[in-house]
Order: sequence, then structure tokens, then C-alpha cells
Amino acid sequence: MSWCWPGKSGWPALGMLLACYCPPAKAADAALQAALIYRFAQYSEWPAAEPKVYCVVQDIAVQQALQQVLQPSSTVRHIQQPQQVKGCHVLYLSRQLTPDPVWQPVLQSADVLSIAANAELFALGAIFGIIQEPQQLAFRVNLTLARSRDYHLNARMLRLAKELY
Amino acid sequence: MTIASGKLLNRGIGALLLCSCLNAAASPPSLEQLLQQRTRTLPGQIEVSTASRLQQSAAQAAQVTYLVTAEDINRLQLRTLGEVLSLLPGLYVSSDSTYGYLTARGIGRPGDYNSRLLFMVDGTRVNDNIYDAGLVGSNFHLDVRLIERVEFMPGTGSALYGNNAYLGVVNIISKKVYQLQNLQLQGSVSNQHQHDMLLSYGLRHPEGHEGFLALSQNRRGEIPLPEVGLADVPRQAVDLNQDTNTKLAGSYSYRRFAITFAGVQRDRQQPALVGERLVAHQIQNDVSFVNARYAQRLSQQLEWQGHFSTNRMHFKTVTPTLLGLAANQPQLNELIFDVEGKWTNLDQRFSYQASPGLSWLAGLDLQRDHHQAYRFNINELLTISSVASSNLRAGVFIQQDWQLWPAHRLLLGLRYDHSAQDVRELSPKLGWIWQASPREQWRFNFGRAFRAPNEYELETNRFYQIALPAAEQTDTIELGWQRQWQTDWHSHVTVYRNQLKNLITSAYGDTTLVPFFNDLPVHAQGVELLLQRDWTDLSELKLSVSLQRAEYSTQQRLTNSAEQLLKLQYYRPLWQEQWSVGYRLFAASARFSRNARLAGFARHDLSLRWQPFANLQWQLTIKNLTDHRQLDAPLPSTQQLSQSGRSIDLSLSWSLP
Repeated sequence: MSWCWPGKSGWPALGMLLACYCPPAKAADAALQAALIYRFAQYSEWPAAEPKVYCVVQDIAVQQALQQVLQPSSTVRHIQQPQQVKGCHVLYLSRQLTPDPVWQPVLQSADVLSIAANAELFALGAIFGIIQEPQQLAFRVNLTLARSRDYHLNARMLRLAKELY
Repeated sequence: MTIASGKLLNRGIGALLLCSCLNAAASPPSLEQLLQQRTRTLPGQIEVSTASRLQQSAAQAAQVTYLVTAEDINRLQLRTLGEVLSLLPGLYVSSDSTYGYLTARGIGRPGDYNSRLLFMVDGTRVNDNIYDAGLVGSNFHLDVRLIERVEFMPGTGSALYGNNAYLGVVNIISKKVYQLQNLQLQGSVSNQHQHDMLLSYGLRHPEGHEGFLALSQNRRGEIPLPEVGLADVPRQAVDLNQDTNTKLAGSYSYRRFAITFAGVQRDRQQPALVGERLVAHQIQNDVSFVNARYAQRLSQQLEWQGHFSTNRMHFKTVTPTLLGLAANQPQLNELIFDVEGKWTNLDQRFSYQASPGLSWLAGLDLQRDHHQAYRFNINELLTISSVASSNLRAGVFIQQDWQLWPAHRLLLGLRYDHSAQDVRELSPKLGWIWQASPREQWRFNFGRAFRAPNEYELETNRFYQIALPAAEQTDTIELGWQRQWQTDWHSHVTVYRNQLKNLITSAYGDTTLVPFFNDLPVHAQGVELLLQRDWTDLSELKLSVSLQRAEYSTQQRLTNSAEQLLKLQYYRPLWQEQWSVGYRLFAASARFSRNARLAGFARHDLSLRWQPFANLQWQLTIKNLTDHRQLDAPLPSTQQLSQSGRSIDLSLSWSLP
């Protein structure tokens, strides 16, 4: 097992995570999740003018992978509690998190783009939900919720969603 | 974009990302590329919806859910739902060349129409209201190429679904618009005189309006006669043996509202000898449904889902007969058996997340059988027998999911079913899940299920003026162990024991109408082992072994089911990324009919796929490579029927770029 860092953060590092760094699959999975989070944020416009602060709930592997993907000007915070969401622009609810209604109030905030790692967390009221398929990932979008908060989501991205709510 | 094309692109992504290691200026993977990236998802993380009637990770469900994906169907060029189901652990499918007959976990009675399994399409119940039949042959509602996945939850499901969820629940999830966007065309020809065509078009608007329409036709001619021991079958008889199925399916949805419809019209023709004349026996079979679904979040913790569907089945056989033939009448009379069923379902479900560790699901299912009718007549003029009835069925259920401790969850469920035809059934369920480690899980569950006698069974016994059969009941205990190994192997073992009583069985006989009776109690037990592995070069292996034994209380073995099943699927890319090969093994031990032992067998399928472009695929598939025609006896007549021989299929799949 070897890492082949190119010496810069960003997409080359993600490339390594996905292609050069072979098993364990968990790291590759985290890299893929991180890449999706980046793309969802990139193809969305919402009241937070420029997403600078990404928050990952209870998944250090995704936090680290996301840090590699983003520009140095962005920060990635690892959080545990809903009270720590203040200041976050993008919020990723990892599958380690038990679906807990205490997260619902923070998901109501129009300032946060929320991404849930599974169906149970998406049901709490997230904008994006990642769907684990047997050999691929897919995603669903709560378009009704997004529209009600004046989010603008890229049409090309919506075309690729498995489900639009 | 098909899944297959995605697989090919994965390698492109791999190469792209590898380049990224060397060149910091490389462009990042697009969202499309990320979604096509092959993942090695842990089975417990895969989203399923059958075990709890809501979308959840498989690890959260008290019962195991086995899957067949669109990619599995595509790789092996499967053509019927029966072929799809035969990939699943514990299921065995035989055919009389017109209908498919399933046995599950060693239980299958001659002449039943798969009524001990609940069949659903996207959550819509599709067992009909006459035979409770689950269609698994070429006349299933949907073309199998429109199936995204089949979820099979073996074991009792009545605590959530009520009637028919006796040995398991089969939920067929149809493809969504995102998989059917633009124009797509698929077709195949076979050396067994079979032609298939599927044309679909799907469209999505960025505001959330989306829909698709799909039309398909499957034609087969010169079908070999399955009966064993027929001597000197004239060529004209084989020519008369034909099957044509025309299917239409579509959907429209806007966010959480969806309307879906699907239907099939079947024209089946078989040769029959009447006196000295060789004539055509006609079977016409139409089935269809329309459903509408809507979901609404009522509060932060409470969600409502409503589901309405209306269904129709029509079945008609026209048999030339000498019955009532007048002297010097040149044409034979036609004996017509006409069956029609119409029914409507209304389901309401409420899910409530009371606290982080406690959730509730409660619901009400109603089924109104508007029409359940039979008519026997001659030439549509002289009625021999005619029966019509209706029914109202209702079921209420509640399920609690309680996180006892961080690694332990308890599921409790209860359902009560009531019908105007005297069904009163209580179906409890208890499940316990222990997440021993992130890679290891134990499941225990107990459930009770029932199958009420269907309209056909009731009316047949009324016709003979004998006692009506009571509802079947089963108690099932299951223990499951699931583990993800460091070496990327995944294993799943289930041990189960069923106690069945009142199994409704048809009397053996050659007549069209055979009466039904409640059989002796049956004990069934078994083990299912599933092993899966994905390699980094995109190769895949899936192996299942089922050991199952069902006996009457008299120690006599149940007929009609194999006690050992071995199923293997292997798939790997070849020397170039455009080429891939698939192999399938299906082996079954000996089965027993009432008066014969039917030898065990092994069948091998091989497929070769070439995908020169992302939107174009050619595939050559050889099914039953060794041309071994095993015998089965799925009918009450116990007649031994030869199953299909070798076929060579060439298929093309193309989509508008």
C-alpha cells in the first residue's frame, strides 16, 4: 500500500485517493463522497454567497478527503453536535450519525447546504441525499425544499439525480 | 447511460485519475464520472425498501434482502422474471412452457401460481385477485429490461404486508427516468425462434417534471412441446405452439407525486388434438395496473405516504371441442373459460421518528375486489357455469424500531387482517439486530404469516360442494450472520425453521378443476449461504448455496422442490475494456413428484459482451450450454415436463447519445 502525493492539494490528490491508493476501500469511498460533496456545492447557489466552511459530522475520513479536494482558502471542520453547525456553509451528515431529530432545526437554516449520506438522514430534511447502490453511488435532491429556500441548482446536475423530491 | 457503459467509463476515470497523480493540472472528474465510478459498497449500506416498507440501509432491516440488479439482468440477457428470480438464494423456478412455477425455501405445491409470495412493482401489489397469482413467465407486467432491481426478502412478511407474504416478498423496482432518458432501443434474436424488442423514451424537466414511455414485444414461435414421451409429434403441432407478449409501461412524476402504469397483452397458442384433428388452443391473458403515490412531511417527525392503485386481469382460454357438436356440423365448438378480476388498493402509511432511537411505522391497507368472475361457456352462447363475487379486505399494522443500546436494536410489529370472506388473521413479528462490529452483524427474527384461500380455491371447492380450505399459517424463526472480510469477501449465512399448517394443496388429477384441501402440517428447515467478492479489476463473483428440507409431520418429504441448490455467477472484463465475459452455473439436486424421482442437474450459461461505445452494446449469450433438459413436474397432473434446452441469443442495445 503506498501513497503517491503530488505535493499539491486538490483534484490530483483526489485522483490518488481513488486510483493510486488501493484498498482499504473505506478511503476510496471517503474520497468519492468528498468529491460528490464538492460537486454538489459547486453546482448549487444559495444564500451563503461563497461556501468557505465545510462541516463533516462524525466522519474523519471524509473530512480528510474533503480537505484534499478543496482550495486552501476553504476549511473543513469535523463536528459532533448540532450546536457546532454555526458558521458552516456546507453540512455533510455521515452515515455514522444516528438519525436524530435534533439535527432538524439546523437543516432548516437557509444558509447551509445539507448533504445526507443515506436515506434515514435525508429524511431529516437534507437537500441532497447520497444513495448507496450495489456498485455505484446515486443521489436524490429535495427540489421542493431547495426551491422554497431560493436555492438555484444547476440543471445539468438535476438531470443526473436519481430522484427529485 | 446504461450501467454497462458506466463500467467501461470507470476505467477511463481510473486512467484520468492516475494521470492526475502525475499531472497536477489535470481536470477534475465530472459529476457524471463520479457517479459512474465503481464502488465496493458494503451490502449493509445498500438502500432497500422491502423489509420495512420504507427506504433504509439494508443493515437497518431485521430481515435479509437479496438483490438482483439491472446489471445482472443485462449480463445474462435474462428474459423473464422467473429467470431473474432463479438467481436468488432458495428459489427454484420451473415451467410448463406457458407459466412459471416457483418454489421458495423448499415449499412449492403442484399447480399453485406462486401465491405464497407477495409480488409488488414499486410497492404496488400485483398478485391477482382470483388465483393470487404472481406472474413470473413472459407475461409479467414489465419487460425485465425495465427493471432496476429485484429485492427479495425471504421469510414471513405478513406483519407488514398481510396476505401472500407467506414465504417471502418480491419487490420489483422499475427503472427511473434518469436511467431511461432520451431514446433507447434494445432488441434480440435467438435460435429458438424468439424475437424481442424494447423501445423507450424518457424526459426530465429541471423543475422536476419527468416521465417515460416504453413499448416492448416478445414473440416466440415453434416452441418445443414440453410433455415427455410424446411420439411422432407432427411438424404442424410445433408450428402452432406460439407466444406473443406486448407490453406498455410508463410513468409521470413531479417531485413526490408519481403515476405509473404497466400492462401486458398475451396471446398464447398451443396445439391440441381433438378427435383426429390438430387444432389451436388459445390463451389470452391481459394484466395491467395504474398507481399513484404521494408523500408529504406533516411535521419534523411525522411523514405520510399514500398509495392508490387499480388493477385488472383477464384470462381467457378457447379450446376447440366435440362437446355439443351437432351432426354434420363442420366446425368444432369452442369451450371458453373466461376469468376476470378487477381490484383497487388504497394504502396509507405514517412514519414517526419519536426520538433518535425510536421510530414508529403505522398503516392501513384496503383492497376492494370489485369483480371476481368466472364463466364457462360454449361458443359464447351456452353458459355451463358462471360465478361472480366481490370482496373487501382491510389490514392495519404497526411497527416499532427501538435502539436498545448502541449496538442492539429491537423491532416489534403487529398486523391484523380482516376480509368480507371471513379472514381474521393476526401476524406478529419480532426482530433483533446486533451490530457486533462495523463488519459483522447478527440478526434474529420470528414472524407469523398467512395465506388466505384465494377465489379460485374457494369457488372450486364450492363447485364440488366440499369444505372450503382454511387459511395457511406459518411460524418462522431465522438467525442470520453477516460479515465483511478484510479480503473483500462478503458472506451471509441464514439458518431458518418454518412450521406450516393448513398448506392448501390441490388434489392430483388431469381435469381442469381440481379440488383443494388443507394438507398435513409441514416442518421446513434450511441454511442459505451467500458469498460475494468484487475485485479491483471489476471482476465479480457471487455464490449461493441453499440446503433446505421440508417434511410432513409423517416424516414424508414434500414433493416438487430441490433440497440442494448451488448458484454461481462470475463476471470479468477481458483483454480490452470493451469486452467482458459472464458465466452462470445453476445446479439443483433431485426433486420428487408424487410418483417419480426427477434427477438433479447442472446448467451453464455463458455470455460475451462487446461495448465499442458508451451508448452501444452487443452481446452473445448461450443459455444451457450443454443442452441438458431437466424434467420437472409443477402441475397437479404430475406429468413430467422437459425444461428449456440450449439457446443462443444475440442482442443489441443502443441509446441516443
